[in-house]
Amino acid sequence: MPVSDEQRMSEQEKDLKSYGLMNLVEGETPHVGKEPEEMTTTWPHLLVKELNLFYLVMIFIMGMSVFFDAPLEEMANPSVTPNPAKAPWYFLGLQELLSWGPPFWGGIFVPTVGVIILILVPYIDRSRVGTGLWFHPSRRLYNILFTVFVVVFIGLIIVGTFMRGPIWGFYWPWEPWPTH
Amino acid sequence: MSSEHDRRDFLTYLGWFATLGTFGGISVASARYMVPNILYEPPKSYKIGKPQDYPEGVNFLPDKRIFVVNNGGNYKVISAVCTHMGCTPRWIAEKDRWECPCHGSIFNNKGVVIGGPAPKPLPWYEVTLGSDNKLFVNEDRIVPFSQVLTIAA
Amino acid sequence: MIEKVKNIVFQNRFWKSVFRHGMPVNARLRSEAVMSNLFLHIHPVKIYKDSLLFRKTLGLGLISFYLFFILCITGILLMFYYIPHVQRAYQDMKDLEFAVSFGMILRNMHRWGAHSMVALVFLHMCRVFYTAGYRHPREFNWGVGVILFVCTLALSLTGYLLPWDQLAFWAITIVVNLIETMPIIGDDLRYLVVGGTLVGQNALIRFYVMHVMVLPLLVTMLIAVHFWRIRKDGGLARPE
Repeated sequence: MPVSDEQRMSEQEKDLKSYGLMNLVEGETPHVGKEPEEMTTTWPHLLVKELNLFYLVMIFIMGMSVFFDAPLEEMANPSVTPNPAKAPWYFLGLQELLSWGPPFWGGIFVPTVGVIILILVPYIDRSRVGTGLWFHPSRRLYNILFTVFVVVFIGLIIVGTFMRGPIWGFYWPWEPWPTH
Repeated sequence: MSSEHDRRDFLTYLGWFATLGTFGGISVASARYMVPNILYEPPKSYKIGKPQDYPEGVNFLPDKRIFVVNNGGNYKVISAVCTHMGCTPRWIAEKDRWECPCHGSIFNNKGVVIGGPAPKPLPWYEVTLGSDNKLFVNEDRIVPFSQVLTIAA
Repeated sequence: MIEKVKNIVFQNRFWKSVFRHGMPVNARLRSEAVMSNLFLHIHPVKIYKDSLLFRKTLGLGLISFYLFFILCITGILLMFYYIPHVQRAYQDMKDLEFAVSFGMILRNMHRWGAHSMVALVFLHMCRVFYTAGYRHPREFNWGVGVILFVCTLALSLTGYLLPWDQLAFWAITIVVNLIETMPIIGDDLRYLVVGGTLVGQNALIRFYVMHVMVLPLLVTMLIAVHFWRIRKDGGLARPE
């Protein structure tokens, strides 16, 4: 005669709810080998900060919207390519890469590999030292590599945005573009 | 015992097969649904008017995105879509070449890439003279540079 | 007088049915206020004091979320006037600018919010990297964050076509021709994305549906996962 699941359960495991939040008491956390850590209630300390940040963001966005208008050019016309034709600024780094060689490498390969490497970062860096601290000295190599990535990423965007003129020629920002 | 297990396994596999079949079928059908069968796009072959409409030199047809090249009564038609990223190259007469504004590709007067990132030359399209004495361009037929339509003046 | 109003507002059966606890005046009620509220319960009831310090996070993730929220609201409002048709879209943009009350401000908020969100999500990623916040047990959440960054770019890009102006048309032309250069599937994928061979009506409606429906839903779900995992992974990364 097999024992049913119900029978195998002990008295405590039966589907009886016998708990609920009754009270919070002062006391130390049962951490081993650690000092008790200072905590505080989310309401109101965190929530007030979050709300204040929201006000700041709203003020910033509304302020910008009052003073600066979003660009709108002429209606789309497939027969007239603007010179130079530029992608949105966050893709100008990619467009800059594209102008260097075969589009597959600049447009597909580099970004795809970049995203894959980014996702793999935590599986490569297995160290536990310095977690949660800014620019921890033990992470110098990682920080340098990542900074190189950021600088190249932003640098390409800056070149594409400010230093590319007609037919994607190179111009310094203060150089005038030739007119036809 | 064994046949009981066989039966249970068989039913399990059958269940999986039916489930995956159903959702797989729906997924494939949905993906296929997203590929349109009929396009309401301009035709790939069209008339572009009389040869006399096109003076000597390179004429740009914005609506069709082609250039009509008239070289002393020899007519040729070349695509005005850059082979790199699809922008419209401009004909620069003084340099005798096309320049693309997007990434700086340069094509010589034969449509061949002489600079910039474009991977392929600009294609020349077949152009014929219809019985109504109008030029007829067929973008589905790409012809070599040497093929011209000669019309006696 | 004030006491009387307070009584009327807070001491009635309706209010108490919505907010079962009273005013959060002590530790237990504060905990319950957070725990029993759908929108607040993504927070723990108690947090580390040093996690509250601004310099720990610079608030970058939260700002990204706020921007997404603002973009959702302004985007929905813009949808009331915008029609994704090649003959209408550009005209509607002009109408928003000149004929609709506060239309231009809403469009500006949407545009600047979108630009800011791209920048802020990237900065948030930098912050997490430089504080080594991606390490075990937060590997998966970092991955979700990278996908969210890609989704942010996709949202921005699909939205970029909608005004149907020269800027939009040529930026998208460049990007869809980029898709064509992918090996093997390039041609078919481009056909699928554009819904044909040319960037036209089919492309516009496809980008529109992605922009207002598919991607926002996806991002909302990913944000939910992202936030949930922050708690499950033990909150803000801290030194051991």
